[in-house]
Amino acid sequence: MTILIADDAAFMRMRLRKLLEEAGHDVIEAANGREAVAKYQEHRPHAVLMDITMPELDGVAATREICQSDPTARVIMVSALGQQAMIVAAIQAGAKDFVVKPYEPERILQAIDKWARVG
Amino acid sequence: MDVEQLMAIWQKASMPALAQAGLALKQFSGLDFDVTESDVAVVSWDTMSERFLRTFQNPLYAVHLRARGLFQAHILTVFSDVNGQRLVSALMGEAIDLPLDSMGLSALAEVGNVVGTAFLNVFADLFQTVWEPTTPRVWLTSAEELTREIAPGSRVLMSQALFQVTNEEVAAEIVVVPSLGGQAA
Repeated sequence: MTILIADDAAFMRMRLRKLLEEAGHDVIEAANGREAVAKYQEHRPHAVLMDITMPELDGVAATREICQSDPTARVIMVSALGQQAMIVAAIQAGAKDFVVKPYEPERILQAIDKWARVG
Repeated sequence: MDVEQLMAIWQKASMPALAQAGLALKQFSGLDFDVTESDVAVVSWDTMSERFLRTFQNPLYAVHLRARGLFQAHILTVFSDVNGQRLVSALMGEAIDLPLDSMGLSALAEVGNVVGTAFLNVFADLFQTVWEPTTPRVWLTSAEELTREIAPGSRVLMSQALFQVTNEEVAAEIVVVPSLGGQAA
């Protein structure tokens, strides 16, 4: 499966890429929300791992744009910002799941297995 | 709720929030961090500056988040350069040289982000609101420069904790400085 990682932190993109590639997935990267929307439109990945606090366009706004253009999009938020109100906002924007950093690697793989295989 | 009431709640909830930040640091780094010292106090900015200069050895790596919510706050996660190097080496799974390169700085920034945001999450849920941090800024600096860069009002509520790995020379410190009325940060 092809997974889009949207995170402004190069270290987190590297860490997630390693995890996903070892699990047999192909990876595309975006360093901000605006880039994530563009890369989504271009590649139509099976799932998106989306950070929230990013420059240009934050992850909730990017999720809203992606899900408005493709209601079948599978966006999984991956953020340290695990505040109840933020989780609600992300789900309302169209996110399917929310993984709070720091996470166990297995939690990411389970979320991808669950959502990326749907549809 | 006025500023004084907000600060009273903030002060009471700081210890569990610092513990939550310590837990996040432990989970993220995979190292066995414990909170070895913590303190919450209302102090003057001058006292805060003096404490910075006394506590931190130069040079140091600082990760700075600004938090926007019911009021603004600065969250600093600070490491000596050697401790920053050790922590990044643990995260990367290989020995990393000083000064840290862009990937090392990114790793350290993410540590500050995860730890600082874990602290904020406690308050956001307590006040049933969102406390949103800015993207982290990380840089090699000195205690003197830090006191010049972070210049909130004359009175600050400081929440400070030292995280240390048992039997190892890896330590990190978090300092949270909310702005108390008057001059916003």
